[in-house]
Amino acid sequence: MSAERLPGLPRPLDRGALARLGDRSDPTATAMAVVLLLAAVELVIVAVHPSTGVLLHAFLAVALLEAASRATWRRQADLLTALAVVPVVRIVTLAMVGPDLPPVAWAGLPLLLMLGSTLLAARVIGSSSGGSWSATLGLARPREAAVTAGVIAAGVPAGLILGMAQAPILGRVGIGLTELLLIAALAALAEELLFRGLLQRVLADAVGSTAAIGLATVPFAAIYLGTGSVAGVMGVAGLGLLLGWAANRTGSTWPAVAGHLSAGISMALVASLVNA
Amino acid sequence: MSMSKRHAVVMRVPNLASLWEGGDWIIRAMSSTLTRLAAEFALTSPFQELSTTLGLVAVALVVVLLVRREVTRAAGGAGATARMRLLDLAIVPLLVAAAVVLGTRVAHLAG
Repeated sequence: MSAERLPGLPRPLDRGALARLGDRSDPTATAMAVVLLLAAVELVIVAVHPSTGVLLHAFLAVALLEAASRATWRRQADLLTALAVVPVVRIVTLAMVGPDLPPVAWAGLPLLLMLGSTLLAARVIGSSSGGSWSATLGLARPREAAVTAGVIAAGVPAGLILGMAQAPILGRVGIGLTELLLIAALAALAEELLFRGLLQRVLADAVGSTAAIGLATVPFAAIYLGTGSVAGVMGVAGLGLLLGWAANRTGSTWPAVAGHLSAGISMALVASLVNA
Repeated sequence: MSMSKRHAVVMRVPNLASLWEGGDWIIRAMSSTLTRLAAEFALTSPFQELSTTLGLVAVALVVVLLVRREVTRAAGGAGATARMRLLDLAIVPLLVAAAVVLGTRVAHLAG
């Protein structure tokens, strides 16, 4: 049979090429699709029922881990691995909320597990790229001290507004100042290491730093849909963009942690004063 | 489930429409685990509902992932260790969460 093919005829099915299709897919499209799915599931949690959303997160986590284990392109595998951490931590966050546990436990323990998941994912990604987990998370000394100082300063007024608004609900939950400060510190470390340290840096490797700041902010803001305020979610998104920019500018995740911490501490102090 | 029971369950959880009512333009969170939804869910939902719905998903998922891990280990081959490490990053936190959920359930039954 002649090797020459008539024009217009379809090429024979190449199963190997089909298998490799996922590896050559556009990382930006993959990242955007998964990030939008994560945001959609967060919307289901708020609009339909938390258990429906948690079930969808479970499917998403299994699918992402399966896809990551089958990917042969390292960046694609790293991207899917980092994205898989988000649904896992959301399941943990919501599954551990319980009236039988003290508030500091159901608010703090999931944050510890979020931190653990992020460190495990950083170890997996770091070993695949030949780097360390701390380099994967961007735990280097920040380049520009002025940016870090600016982010910390910006966190204070944000925390004051948050504290005034959050005081009634915190009063109802019954959380004291010490517990609030503990949760604020844990939240700053766990959330920033996940979203700015792991997710944003892996996304930057795949889609570029500017797109990565925006893409990492979407799930960060989406998990705050539970605040029940559109302006609140927009405010969190704005804070996420600022912290993402600072992390990108300084080449370190520490300024983002510091900015988040300053907002959390100010908020805890104000909420405590209002309730007192 | 009867319609009245189903309605009662839905009413306990704030939906998007009710959260947007009244021009609620205030930020209400200090961490993703301490949002209004989480607080209201913990304060208003009975233990049975929380443990049966959310806890069940976490426990079921960790079982699925543990089975998948064992299948990967048994199959062996190149990359099996890397795949197991990948699964571990979901298994470890979910296992702790499942232990807490099951522990509180046992304590609830005992108490």
